[in-house]
Amino acid sequence: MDFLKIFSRNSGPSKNVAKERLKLVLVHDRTNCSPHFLDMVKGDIIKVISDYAEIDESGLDIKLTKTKRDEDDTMVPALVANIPIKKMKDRKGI
Amino acid sequence: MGEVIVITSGKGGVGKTTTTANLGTALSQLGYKVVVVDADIGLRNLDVVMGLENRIVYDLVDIVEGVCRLNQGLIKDKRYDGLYLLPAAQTKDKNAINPKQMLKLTSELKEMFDYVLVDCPAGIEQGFKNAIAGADRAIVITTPEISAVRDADRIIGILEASDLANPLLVINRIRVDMVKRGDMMDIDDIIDILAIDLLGVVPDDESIVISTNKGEPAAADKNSLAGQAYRNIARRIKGEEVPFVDMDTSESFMTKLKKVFGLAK
Amino acid sequence: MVIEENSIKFKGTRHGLSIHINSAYDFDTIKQDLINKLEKSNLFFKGAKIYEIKSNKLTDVQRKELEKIMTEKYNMHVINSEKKKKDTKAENQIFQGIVEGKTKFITGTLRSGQKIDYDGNVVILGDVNPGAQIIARGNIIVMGSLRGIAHAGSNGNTKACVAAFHLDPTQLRIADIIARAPDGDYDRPTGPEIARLKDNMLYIEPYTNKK
Repeated sequence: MDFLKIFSRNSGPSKNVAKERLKLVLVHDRTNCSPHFLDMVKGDIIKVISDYAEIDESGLDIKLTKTKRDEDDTMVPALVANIPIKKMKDRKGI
Repeated sequence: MGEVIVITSGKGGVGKTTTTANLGTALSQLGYKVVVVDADIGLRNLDVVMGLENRIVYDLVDIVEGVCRLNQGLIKDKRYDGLYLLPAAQTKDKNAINPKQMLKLTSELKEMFDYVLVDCPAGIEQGFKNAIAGADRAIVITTPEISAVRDADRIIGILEASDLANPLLVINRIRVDMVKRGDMMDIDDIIDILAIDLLGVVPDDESIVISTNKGEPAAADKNSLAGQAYRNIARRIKGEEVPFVDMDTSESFMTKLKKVFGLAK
Repeated sequence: MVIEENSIKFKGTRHGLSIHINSAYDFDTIKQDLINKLEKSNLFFKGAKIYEIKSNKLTDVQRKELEKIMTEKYNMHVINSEKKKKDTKAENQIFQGIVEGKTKFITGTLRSGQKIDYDGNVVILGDVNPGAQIIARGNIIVMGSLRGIAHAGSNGNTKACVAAFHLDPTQLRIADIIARAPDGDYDRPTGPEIARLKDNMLYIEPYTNKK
């Protein structure tokens, strides 16, 4: 039977696809937040940080995940932003 | 004083009713006095899974409305002495009762039984709110499918918000062959996402369909794999430590053969 | 005459007002709805006679409370129960129209969850599926398969019968005698059959047109 799989699939086991899709869906379910909301947050972060540093806007990644709270280990939603900085701006003038 | 356990899932068709019937059967096998309560008013099914549909005279709504006494509404199981069914009404709808009445009913049942298992309807509306009203503990059923896990997550959130913290998870209809191929989320994947304690895993098993056809829960069948899984869950409910069944034992002959020849991964 | 839909409905009968209460609502809502309605058409209800309050859930105390609101604030009168008994006495007698009496005809299949409750004979031109229920004070005749629950002679008439082309009910009741389908496999009926009471036992026999 195994050789049939070569023809039927080419993108890895489907459970990984399921898991990734599920995680994404749950993040939004749990926080009630839309992709539009994330875009707005992204825009504002770029605006603020641009005053201090030159950033790679195309590489900016912002997403909602969950993380363990330090005090009692319950899972809470977390906003994680990955912002590649090209170079810091000269802050002498400020 | 007994314990009220609600069996819920959010999504329909994942095996709430089957699980309720089987856990009721398995717990009564262990010598407990158990009542299984069908809270799915208007769409009752627990009676047919238990094979008791032709004995129903009164139902849950009749008891709540005072048409009959609690004892008159309870239906004794065919095989097990300590097992009773409280059927839902079929000709009424979910609004026929409210959470307050359900709380009163379950607290009365708790006086009479060691375990009160409540089969919750699908969804998160009135029927769900009724079903969880009197519960001390909750069991969440899911299957290894995105839709079922997503709904289970939603249900867990609602349960936690309504004082039913730490619900336990039962993963139903796992198919070992598909998990091995990587085409089905495995137990760890699901636990990882839902982050609650695992109570049991039930394999996808033809014997469930056969036993439902006959109206005899699989837990009564010594040869049924799923029945064994339910008996293990029942022992865990009573607090026993039961190791999880190694899924490899149900490996097909072909895979074993391939292993010998070094073909399988 | 129906005035408005929600937790409370007023219906005019020849004896006086009949107040129907939907038990799905809680008592506070019911009370408020009642006051709102009476307030809205105060003049209309003034001095009206209340024949009955129909509800399967109200406690006596709650019933009294509603009556008090209506009598004290809105000058309505409650017809006392003695007089009512006399009026309804005829209605509560065992239905005797089995040989000749009022009959309801239903065309189509009764499905799970549907319930017919009639104070006469019932004839179904169709099937009665498992989970459906027919309650009749008289006879029940099904021109098709009867697989649900049938209760004939529901207010005590032991002469009532149940007949069907395919009589295979989950449960059968005549007057206050209950019989249920056997457990496990059993021989399904092959022709039309009729169920009757004899000496407090339910007998099912093949229907032949001699009987």
